[in-house]
Amino acid sequence: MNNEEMKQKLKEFFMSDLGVDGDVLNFDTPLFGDEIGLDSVDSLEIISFVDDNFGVSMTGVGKEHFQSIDTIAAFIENNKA
Amino acid sequence: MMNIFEISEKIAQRPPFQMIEKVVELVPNESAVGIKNVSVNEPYFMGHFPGTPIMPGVLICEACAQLCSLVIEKPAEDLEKNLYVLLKIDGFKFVKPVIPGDQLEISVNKTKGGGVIVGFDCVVKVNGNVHAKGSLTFTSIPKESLGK
Repeated sequence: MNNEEMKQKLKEFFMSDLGVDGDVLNFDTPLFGDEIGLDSVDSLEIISFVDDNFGVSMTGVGKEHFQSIDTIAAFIENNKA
Repeated sequence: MMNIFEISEKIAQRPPFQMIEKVVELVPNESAVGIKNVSVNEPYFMGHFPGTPIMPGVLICEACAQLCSLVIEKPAEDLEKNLYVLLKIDGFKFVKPVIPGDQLEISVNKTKGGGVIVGFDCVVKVNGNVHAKGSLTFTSIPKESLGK
């Protein structure tokens, strides 16, 4: 899976599982800002999804890595086995 | 198969907040089918509603949650430090009212988890008819973090 496919898979997860409107969600949109408005419960869902689908643990990782689809994808890229 | 005595060894809730009375099927970490008998003597029927007893939807969710907690296998050292708590209730529908005399047959199936969260699909039937369904998600939190 290339980087673009990974981001698309993450976007589909945000739309289907976290109820985010795909029209306002770009790869660089802040996930926890006013516009999308995710919270700490959603961050646990993100950790679980990334672990199950990419085999990368984000438990205890700094919140700067959760800022957008771009930063999550970059973290996965840099930490996958 | 578990009776009320075996269930009480596994979960912390007690009457009048014990919402699973019998487990008829159990596959650890996967699924279970449990029974709750709904009696007119239950205290919440005094107020919900006077003269028209209907089981509150949140307590149907609680019954499902207690059955899920029996499915999640926890090592003893984990239970000493951590508490499994309800994190999310998704898409619950209360298709038909539950009234005194009904026997709830509750089925829960794990859909995701093993890591930081565990998710279940739940279906509640009375006489084979669906009365409620939805999804529940749990996580574990360190007991020492409570209230901080």
